[in-house]
Amino acid sequence: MQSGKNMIYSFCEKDLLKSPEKYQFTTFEGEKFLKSYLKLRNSVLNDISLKSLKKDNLSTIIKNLIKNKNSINKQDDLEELFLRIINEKENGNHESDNIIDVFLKKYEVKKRLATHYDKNFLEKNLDYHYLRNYILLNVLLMTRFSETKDIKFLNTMLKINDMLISKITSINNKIDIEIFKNLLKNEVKFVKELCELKGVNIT
Amino acid sequence: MRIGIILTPDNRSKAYIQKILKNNVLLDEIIFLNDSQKERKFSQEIIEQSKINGFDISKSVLSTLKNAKLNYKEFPFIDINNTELIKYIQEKNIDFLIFSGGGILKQEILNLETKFVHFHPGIVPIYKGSTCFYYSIINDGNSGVTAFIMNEGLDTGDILYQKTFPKPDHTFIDQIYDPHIRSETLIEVLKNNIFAEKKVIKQNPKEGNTYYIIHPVLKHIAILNCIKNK
Repeated sequence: MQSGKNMIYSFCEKDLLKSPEKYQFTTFEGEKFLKSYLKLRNSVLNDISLKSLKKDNLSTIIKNLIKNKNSINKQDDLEELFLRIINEKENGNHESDNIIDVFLKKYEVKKRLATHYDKNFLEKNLDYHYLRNYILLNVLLMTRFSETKDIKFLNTMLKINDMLISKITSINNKIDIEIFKNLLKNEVKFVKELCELKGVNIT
Repeated sequence: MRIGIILTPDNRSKAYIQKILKNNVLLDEIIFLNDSQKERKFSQEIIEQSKINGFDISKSVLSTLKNAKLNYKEFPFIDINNTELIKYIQEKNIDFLIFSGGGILKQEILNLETKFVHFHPGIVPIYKGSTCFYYSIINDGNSGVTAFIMNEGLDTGDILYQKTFPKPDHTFIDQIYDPHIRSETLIEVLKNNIFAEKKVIKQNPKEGNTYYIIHPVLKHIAILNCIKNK
């Protein structure tokens, strides 16, 4: 992955899980900023593609993940919750969209997700390092953005992907790599489409 | 009816106090929360743009207050919930206090008879939360301001007034456009005696959207969209 002083898009250079970025009053740097963002994302995608072997689509990867997940129904396990919601939405059930909003807010406020939550969505532990949960939340945000074109979902998706890129050396599980690759590709697609819609040059 | 304003040493307060003076609006009470931090320097380009938008960003709040020989009460901190400040507000029997920053209002200050009025840069309930003008520019090609009476919720207070604005044709949205649209709305509220009318629209807190600090990629898209025809 490219990095260094000349890189304008510098938001992924520190460990964003350890030291979260607030994104307050960021500097305007013109078109070159967007070009730099795109260059970084493409660079990461190239690096990930070297580690990636599968050609399965996201839906198949998630289905396999659900199938292989320990079948004990852990009510408080966040990964289980996210997988359940993804599965529900695949089957046309959107009743849990409000839960996606709950965790969007949690990430925006705290920039961290615990591994377990109680029925009121309060943290049950302080283990924030399980990266799959961030990846799965971003799958949900990607889905919601596709459904609604509400840029609040794209906004948080960008932030989570920044964090995941900053932790790229910790993403080693093949399934996580595949899903993350899909997330980044879609994020770039969404941003390019938005730029075209708004008459902004990114290429 | 007594109307006052709480100022802090930032661009929003600069726009507020300068436009209040320019429009010959009289206030009953001016409170200045001043932590004496060093004033930021601005480029000539930003200063010129601020003047086009009716205020001079290079003039500090303190210098404006002093040069206009205004009576004001200064506190050496920026903390809206400070007990000394709360005691002062209570003693002054102010009906409406225009808020310009200093933190999130806690229950003690909200329990006062004084109503705090915030000029939020978003048309609520659709645009609640942070950096709303960027989202509004991307979605709608414009933005707006809502004046509401503050309560314990986030941007859920009773609405006094709302005004929409075209998107800017410059890049200084944080520094100039934001304080400009808020201050323009403030002047309309004051000149049209909106506080005296006592008409409010109650919000349903469950309605609308809450937005979070905009990611710089989306911020750049919004700003570049503003200047694309320039």
